[in-house]
Amino acid sequence: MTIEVNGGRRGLTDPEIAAVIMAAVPDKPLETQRKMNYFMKPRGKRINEYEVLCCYSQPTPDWIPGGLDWGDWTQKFHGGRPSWSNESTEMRSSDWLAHRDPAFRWHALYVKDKAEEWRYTDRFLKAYSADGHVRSIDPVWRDEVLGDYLGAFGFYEYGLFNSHSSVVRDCLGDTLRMSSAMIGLDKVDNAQMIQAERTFLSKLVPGFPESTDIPKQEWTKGTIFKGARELVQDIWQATYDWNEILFSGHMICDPIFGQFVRREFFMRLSSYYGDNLTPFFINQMQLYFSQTKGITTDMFHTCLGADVEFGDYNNRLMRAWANKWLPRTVNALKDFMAIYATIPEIKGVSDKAAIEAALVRVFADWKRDFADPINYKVDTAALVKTVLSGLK
Amino acid sequence: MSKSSNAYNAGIMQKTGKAFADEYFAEDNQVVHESHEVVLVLKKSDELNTVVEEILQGSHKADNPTLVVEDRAGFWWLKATGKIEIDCVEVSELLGKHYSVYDLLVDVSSTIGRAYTLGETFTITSELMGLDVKLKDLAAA
Amino acid sequence: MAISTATKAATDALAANPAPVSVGAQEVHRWMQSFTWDFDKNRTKYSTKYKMANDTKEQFKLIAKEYARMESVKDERQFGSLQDVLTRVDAANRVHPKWNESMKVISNFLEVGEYNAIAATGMLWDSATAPEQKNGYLGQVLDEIRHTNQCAYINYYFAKQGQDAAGHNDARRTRAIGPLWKGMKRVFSDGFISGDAVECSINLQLVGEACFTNPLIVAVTEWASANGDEMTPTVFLSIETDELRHMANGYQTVVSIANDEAASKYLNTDLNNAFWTQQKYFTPVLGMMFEYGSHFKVEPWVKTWNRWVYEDWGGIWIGRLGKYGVESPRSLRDAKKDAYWAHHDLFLIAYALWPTGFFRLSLPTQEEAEWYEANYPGWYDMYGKVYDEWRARGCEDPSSGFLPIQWFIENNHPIYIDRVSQVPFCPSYCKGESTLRVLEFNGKKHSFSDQWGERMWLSEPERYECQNIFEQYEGRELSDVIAEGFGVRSDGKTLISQPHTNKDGKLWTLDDIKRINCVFSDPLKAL
Repeated sequence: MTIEVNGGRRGLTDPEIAAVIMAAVPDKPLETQRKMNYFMKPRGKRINEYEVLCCYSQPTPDWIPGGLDWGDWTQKFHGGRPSWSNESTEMRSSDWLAHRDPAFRWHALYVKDKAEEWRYTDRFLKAYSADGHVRSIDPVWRDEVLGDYLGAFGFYEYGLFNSHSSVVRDCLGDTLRMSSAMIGLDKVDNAQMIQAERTFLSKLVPGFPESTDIPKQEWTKGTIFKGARELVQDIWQATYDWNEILFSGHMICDPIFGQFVRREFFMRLSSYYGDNLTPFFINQMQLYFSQTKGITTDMFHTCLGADVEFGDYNNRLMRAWANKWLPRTVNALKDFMAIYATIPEIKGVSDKAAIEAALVRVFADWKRDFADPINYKVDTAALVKTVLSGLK
Repeated sequence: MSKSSNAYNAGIMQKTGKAFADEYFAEDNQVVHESHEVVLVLKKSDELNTVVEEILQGSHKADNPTLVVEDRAGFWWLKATGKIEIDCVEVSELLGKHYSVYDLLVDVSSTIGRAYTLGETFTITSELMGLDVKLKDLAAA
Repeated sequence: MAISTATKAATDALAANPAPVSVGAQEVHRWMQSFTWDFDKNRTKYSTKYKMANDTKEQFKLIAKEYARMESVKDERQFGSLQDVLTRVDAANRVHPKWNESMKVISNFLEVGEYNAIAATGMLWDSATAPEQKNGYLGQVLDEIRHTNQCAYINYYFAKQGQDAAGHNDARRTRAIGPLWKGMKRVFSDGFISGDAVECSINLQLVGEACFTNPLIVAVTEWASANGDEMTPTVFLSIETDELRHMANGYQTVVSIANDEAASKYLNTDLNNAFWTQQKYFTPVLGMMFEYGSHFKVEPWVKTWNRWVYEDWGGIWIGRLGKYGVESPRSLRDAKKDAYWAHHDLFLIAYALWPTGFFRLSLPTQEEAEWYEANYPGWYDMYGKVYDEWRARGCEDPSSGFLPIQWFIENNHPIYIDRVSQVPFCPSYCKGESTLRVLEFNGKKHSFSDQWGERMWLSEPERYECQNIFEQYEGRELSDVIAEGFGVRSDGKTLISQPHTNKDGKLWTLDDIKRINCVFSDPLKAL
């Protein structure tokens, strides 16, 4: 038969072509090693699918620790700066490809989870609206807190989202790059969920403003988010070391400021003000927070802090970074305390004692999960006291 | 085989050997020539086969006589002058199931031209969207 | 509206119409453009000579969750097909062996491009000012992760289920040995991530994706199908469903700079450089993979190139932008010559250096030679007769003691590496657009194959000083280099690469290579 075939003919189903192919196929496989990436060291007992599909996809030379390639870059930045370089971070590693997402999520698994969350969000909103739950929300909470301050908090999430762009460009490992993109997407998802909630409320409550104008005014000009805005701006645009961006955002700022605002303010208080809509969205954000925490603690504690060669140095650097970013985060939270003056006080819920208890929870969690592993000494009671001084 | 100038093997593509080389290397063919056509590659699937056979080549065939559709094994190759538009509300009715414009994008494999979505409509056009023509957002309810 | 009135209105509205309500993706997306704010330090970390507008739109209006839903549906389809019906019919063992080998290269090298595009679009996400544009680039970041995983899945699947796992199973470790690797890195890796952000976007999106992904990811599926491979169409056509958003991102990059004065000064040079950079590698390598890496042919490569690159990309993308000052690439004439001949030139060299690959190559058969001559008149006199000579000298037989690279040495046809593209070329035996140019810089000689790369070098030599394989391996014996680069199968001695795909043919080992005593030398030192 002719060797030129077209018009949609397929070797798998066309008997004439298939006969030629099958005559050429070896009688038995030529190679017995059939596991892709068989040469790599797995995190667990055996190489898993995530490791097969992600690990060593980065073509870096061996002078960036972990790389398998050789030589120089084939094209560099104007002036000769290299494509990727060890100098892009103060951190040191004996293997930049060592990180693993603890959930072993490659792209398909990541989007599958989020797709399920979206589908369920759609069904939840339909049930919520049909049930008329919106009638039970305290009007001040709904119009001022959700309309203005939750909207303003969306800018916090959006700013942190943008802090991941240069990390995705500059970081030195494949699994690091993929994880950083995913936790970045979660942040813009948070910002979009906040807007989705506001758009949803505007459909149910005539006159509820869907526009981002007032929240943006609050975020850029108001005092409640002043410290947070300045903090986010500096993480996003004033920090060039990609490890420091991740560390300041996910090991300091978000576990303290983000956790307090999401978990201890919006989620804990909303039900007291008749709002069972906001917790639905915040719970998704909290899921992302916990997944991100797994990822960044693997990066900073499991890999960099425990690096055989550079662990001590890395932990010392992390403590220095904590010294730099913790006071600014505490200050952001102190500014945020002014929000309590805008809502009707509920005894045992939004009074000073309850706020202090919430702060103690957040700082205790942070100390246990983020400070202690790098041996960072911190007086959480003093931090709580500083934050509380912001109450009006 | 289609005789349309938009066909997969139109013009020079019908030639072989020296005749092809002569035209290919002709002086006039050493610079690009502006084209007002658009190309769409649709991955074959249950839904896209319906879109191609029952809508683009069926109920809406008269809408754009320049449209050519060709079978390239795994995909449908479409070329038309001006634009190709697919209304997913209509597709949804035809399929008998919910089918959004983003469900359509699951199997839209490639575009040459300016493609965009608005509401439940997918459009690929030779117009310069964002330059000559403004891109619109979904209107507020 | 006053708060109490709003509450009453909500109650009344509900009483009148309790229909369930939700929120659609585009209802959220229409607020995206307002998500950012101005502040002093708000500028990109990656400089560009262009000024990107802050009102650029995203054409598909996706938000994170709808993106995830759409991609998840794509994945259900492709992985469902692979894991279910294609496995059940043993599809991986119904692929022509030549094509099985091509997919070792195509899928792994595409993976590198996809992987680097993650970083490239991270840079563009940073450099864009319009939130919708950032959102478009973010979607692309995630897409590129998807494509990296998808390309890997092809190699993973072929390794697990197919006829020859070697090369599929370890391409990420062995790919760096041979002459195709560094050129691939230039075009698919560093070319996307190192430079002016807009220049990188033009390379990646306006040329790499809008132009070359159509032959690389779409047209390739027709060749795959013809040769029995239904795995590649299943995965690659799904990859391409994301590329249309990337093409839109590239187009919107141009839209965002269209009104910037710098665009009129620099855009045509950047576009020409990007076009030449991309075509310099893609044109010969894809043509070689399609035509020499298949048994059944769909059409001559030059026709595929003429349709997708010249007529459609050239006419519909570049031609339409003419009124905004975008010109036909000045290197088009030379690129067209390459599209006709350069893949034949490259295969001659690739076959001559076959032991350094991670795949098996095959000499053209008699019926293939006739097909080449019919479609490329003059092919036999230039290439076919050389293959006949190599075959007659036993190049497929491990006991022959003959490697085709010896033919180049015996006939005084030195092979050089173009410093800028890293593509190998033989100026004294080629029909593509390659002539030898040698320049000295920093006490070292550098060879170039064409005026376009030479111009890039003369403007900014510090960007392209990367050493090549002849400099790296100089003085090293070939079997040592292969062993060091893990170019052997699991028995520890048989090469992954072979000069044939005959199922009854003998396989070469490291010892067969060692007996020939082939030692690398740098041709520039002889000048």
